Amino acid sequence: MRYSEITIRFCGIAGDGIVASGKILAGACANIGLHVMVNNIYSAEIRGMGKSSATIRFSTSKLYSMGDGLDLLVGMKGKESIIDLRDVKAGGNVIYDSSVIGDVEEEDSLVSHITPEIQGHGLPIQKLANEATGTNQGKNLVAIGAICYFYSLPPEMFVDQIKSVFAHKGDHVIDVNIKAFNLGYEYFKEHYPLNNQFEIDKIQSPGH
Amino acid sequence: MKHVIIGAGVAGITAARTIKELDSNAEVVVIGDELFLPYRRCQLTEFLCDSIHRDDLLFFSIKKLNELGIKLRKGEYVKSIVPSEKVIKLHHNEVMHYDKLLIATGGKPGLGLVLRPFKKHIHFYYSLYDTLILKEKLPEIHKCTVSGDGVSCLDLICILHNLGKKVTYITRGERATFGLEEDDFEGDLHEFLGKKGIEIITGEQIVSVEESNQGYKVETIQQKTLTTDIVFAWDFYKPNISFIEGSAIEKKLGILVNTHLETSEKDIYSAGDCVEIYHPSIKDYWINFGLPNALEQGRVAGMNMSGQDEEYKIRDTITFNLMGKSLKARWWK
Repeated sequence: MRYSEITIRFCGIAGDGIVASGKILAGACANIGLHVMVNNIYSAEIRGMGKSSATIRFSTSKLYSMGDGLDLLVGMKGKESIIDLRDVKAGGNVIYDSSVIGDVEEEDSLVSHITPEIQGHGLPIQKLANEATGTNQGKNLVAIGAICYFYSLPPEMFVDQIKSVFAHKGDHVIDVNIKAFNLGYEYFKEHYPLNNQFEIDKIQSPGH
Repeated sequence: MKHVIIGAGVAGITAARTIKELDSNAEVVVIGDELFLPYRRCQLTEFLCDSIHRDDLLFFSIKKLNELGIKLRKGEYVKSIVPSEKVIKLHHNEVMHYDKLLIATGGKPGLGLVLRPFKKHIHFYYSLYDTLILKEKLPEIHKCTVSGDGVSCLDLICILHNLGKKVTYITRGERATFGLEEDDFEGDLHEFLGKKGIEIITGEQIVSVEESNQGYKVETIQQKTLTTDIVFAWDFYKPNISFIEGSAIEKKLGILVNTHLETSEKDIYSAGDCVEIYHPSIKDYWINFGLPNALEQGRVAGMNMSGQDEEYKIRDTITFNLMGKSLKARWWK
């Protein structure tokens, strides 16, 4: 499919890097001249508690609202993301973590609530993040890597943004986050090679 | 009663429909590993050459699923079955309970040890996903190399030829036969393909496929080198049942079933290309490939899962159409 505007929501719990995901995706899009809107919702609770989400809409032309639905939902935590499925458009997509540790009951599984109108895509978010960073961090970058391939966006726009966002944390943090991004990108390239096209060449200048 | 059906192909969907038609209150969940709504695999070639639209491939719409109350879960894999607990485990560690289970996962092509390292350079022609990728690449393809067996291989060769591509077929055998009864073809299939312009290399085997400046470089066991734009190869087509490993479900190449399509485990049935059923004529189990068998087995399995007493009657042959000629296949020959 070809897109000239896309709405993506990252959904998880505090500590999943949800707000940072929005920052990196929105920043990368803005840097290449796309029009961007962001809506973050997070609770005041401590890490590991409370749901948070970041919705990012980007377009080649001017935006006036957050739109009427999601093209893509990234469910970093399955159970917390179930309710957000109702916002996914028919024909929209969901990326879910396929490397969850321990059994998941059917009613708590995000995947079991995905209807045939929507397409689910498994991505071993946790596993690849561990591989890249050696910790539980970097899950958001794995997901962004997959998104980059899924919509045929240029990887450099994200690599530049990762360098910029993590500059104050030093080269090691930059390197492992780029590795996490690359692992997500390569996973989708291998497992979902038929990707979509974001019409980046149709970016309008601010005067339009 | 919860019926879980693994496989959203013809057999699985037919069983789901049969169950719901017999008992509208039954809960039916179908788990398919492909990303698409149920489609007719046998018409992929027509879609590839634009004779039909993609929507024409579908044989069960979302509307129909909703009307019957069948829950379809696309793009999901089953990891394991635990018959003693009546649960299946999905690839993302979800645990699903069942009262009756049908395994209808079909068959799939695969590569042997020699070609497996070159998998990323080799195309299959089996699923809608394969076909969509091929369709995207077609304009850039001029020379194709094909290695495989069976009617699907012959079908691929014919469509590539009809689309104006130069086709080279590599076979280990002395002739290109594709397991068909050549008597029905009014002559020799090997000669027929040769006359059509297909280059046939016999007594050979691909041993490596590497990227090159001109597409791909193919090397054979007798050290012949070919350049090609795309390589299609598969060493076997076999039942897709690796997830039953570790369970006590009896199998040979496929899952063994009786004529009620019951497996060795209580409340687990199996139908379609993943099944081996006892054939009284050949006095052995055999795989009953093909669309008509899948339809019939899906119907019979659905009936028996709903408490009916229906027996599957074995069909001896499947008829194919090749370039206007009717061909019969008997797979055990």
